[in-house]
Amino acid sequence: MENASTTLLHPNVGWLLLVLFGAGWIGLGIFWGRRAKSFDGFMLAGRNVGMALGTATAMATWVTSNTVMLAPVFALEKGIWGMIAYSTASFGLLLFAPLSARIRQLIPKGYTSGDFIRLRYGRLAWVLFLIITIVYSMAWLVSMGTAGGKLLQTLSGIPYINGMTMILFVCVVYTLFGGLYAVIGTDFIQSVIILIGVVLVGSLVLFKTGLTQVYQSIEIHQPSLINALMPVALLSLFNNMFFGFGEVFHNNVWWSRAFAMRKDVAPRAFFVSGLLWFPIPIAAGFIALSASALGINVIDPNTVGPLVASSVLGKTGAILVFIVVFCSLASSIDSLLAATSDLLVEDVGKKMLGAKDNEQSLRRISKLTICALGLLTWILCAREMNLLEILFLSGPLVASAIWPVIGGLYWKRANSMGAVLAMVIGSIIGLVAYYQLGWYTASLISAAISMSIMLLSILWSRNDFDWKRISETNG
Amino acid sequence: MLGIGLMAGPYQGIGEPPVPRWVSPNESPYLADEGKVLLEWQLPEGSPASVPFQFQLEQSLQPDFTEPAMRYEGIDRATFVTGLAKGNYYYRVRVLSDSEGSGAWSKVVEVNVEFVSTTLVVTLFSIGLGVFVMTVVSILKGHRNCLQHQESQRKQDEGGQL
Repeated sequence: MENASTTLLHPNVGWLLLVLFGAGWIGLGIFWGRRAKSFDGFMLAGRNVGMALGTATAMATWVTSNTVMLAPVFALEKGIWGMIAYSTASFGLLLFAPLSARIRQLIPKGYTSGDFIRLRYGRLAWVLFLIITIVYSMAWLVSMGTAGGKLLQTLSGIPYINGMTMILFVCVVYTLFGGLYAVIGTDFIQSVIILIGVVLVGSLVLFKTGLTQVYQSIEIHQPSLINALMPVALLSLFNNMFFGFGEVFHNNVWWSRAFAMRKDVAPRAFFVSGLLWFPIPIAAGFIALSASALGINVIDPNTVGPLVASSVLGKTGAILVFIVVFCSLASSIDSLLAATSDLLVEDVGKKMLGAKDNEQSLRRISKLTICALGLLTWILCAREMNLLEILFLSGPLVASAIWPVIGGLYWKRANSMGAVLAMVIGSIIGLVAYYQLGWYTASLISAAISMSIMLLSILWSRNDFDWKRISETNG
Repeated sequence: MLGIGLMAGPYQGIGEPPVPRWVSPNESPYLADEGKVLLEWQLPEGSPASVPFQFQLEQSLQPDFTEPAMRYEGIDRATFVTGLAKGNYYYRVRVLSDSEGSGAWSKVVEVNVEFVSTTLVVTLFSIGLGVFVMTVVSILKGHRNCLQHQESQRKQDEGGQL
């Protein structure tokens, strides 16, 4: 049996790749960043992103280091249903397609998701929403930084702290120089590399092992993984789906892209990116399922995907996996840094604290915020927190925001009290479920409670919201 | 990767092979409610650090290991077991050696796999399905209404211009 105690790439090779790609992203970031002459350009890439770049940025952002690491973990621990459960996160992108059309119709000059919640539901719901989204964004950033450090260590033996620091440094620098122009431009190249890499690695693993061999090995050693009624896997299906809905529907990463794309482009780009994303966790998951058939000893489930891929494909494969991992990390970290700093500058700085509405001052604050976010992420990542724990704890929070967003976009009778109660009670009960029943129930229960409260509040409400209140005040 | 063959007979001259101790799970019986468990062991203090010990891990459905199955053999000191079906499993580990004879087995650790209740699964799955349908229907219906509204607005505008 193969052992997990060794790495396949020499640390020097790892460093060489890190420096080469890091320098490349920074160079491209500075190059594309020259187009960001105004604050609007820096934040939203001039609101003129087309179909190809729009689709690529949505897909690349959603292929995170968590996809590379957690999709295989889902497959390894929950089998076939686990793979499908992770893929259902693509439904979030598919359903965000119609939502993005509505967002562009209601607030064509909007900047952030916080803008919408503030104008639609008022200050209390807005503050609550900001707390949820900032907690989630930090959890996502930290989980990716942690994942990145661990992956680089597994693949090349680069010490965790060094790899994690390097990744964060590169992403902070090019986002700092180029804003959303740099983020979207690099996302395009990164998405092409990710797609080719994942398809290639998945196909080669399949070619080397074969479906029958994988199935037979699982049947003997891991029978629950092919059990269609595996309880935890069944529950994780909807739990993961609602977590994905919550992530996409509420977070400014997606709203900023909806604002940045041309009006007619946004719905099509989100839909196509959802379709392209769907098979990626299945390919990544299959790689993990073949670990047993290949006789690979897995110690840390978080690293099973790269471990198997590197083992099957040798040194060249390890280099390929390293590049794909670095691209998936960069494509998500840069997006989160940009979108979260937008949210902090626009909602907290400008609207809450009354910062000067001056181009130069806002751009300076924005850059300082990106640096501060990078530093905070580094501090939290240095503690090497548990990946699943970090990410899934924020699941019930974001799931509670699904229905306030949908209701707020489509229904005049959706009201502030309903939205606040839906987010508060949904989050609390979801968190209780997380600890009492298991992580695989938290987002599901939170979404169900939040939906029930929103529907009841709409039924009892006499609210007749005037949509013009959003579009007239905004921009 | 280091093959097993390369590691044969590394303990010559160190006497009796040491007996591994369990690090994880830290209790026996251990309840694995998701069908997974990290099995991790270590050697007692004083074991020669320079020797690349090789281990053998066995799994059995009986506490007396009447029908054991080899679960892992190699130099790693842990393995992550997943996909276990409902039931009780027993594990033991020892140091392997072809020259001094294999070491003694560790204490047996028991892992009980017990999933969440079927009632809870069916209830939550049904709720999940309901919320999913409601979410999709609400968005699609809302989207259709918006398109219809835009269309009627456009016609009104055209009528006004005429």
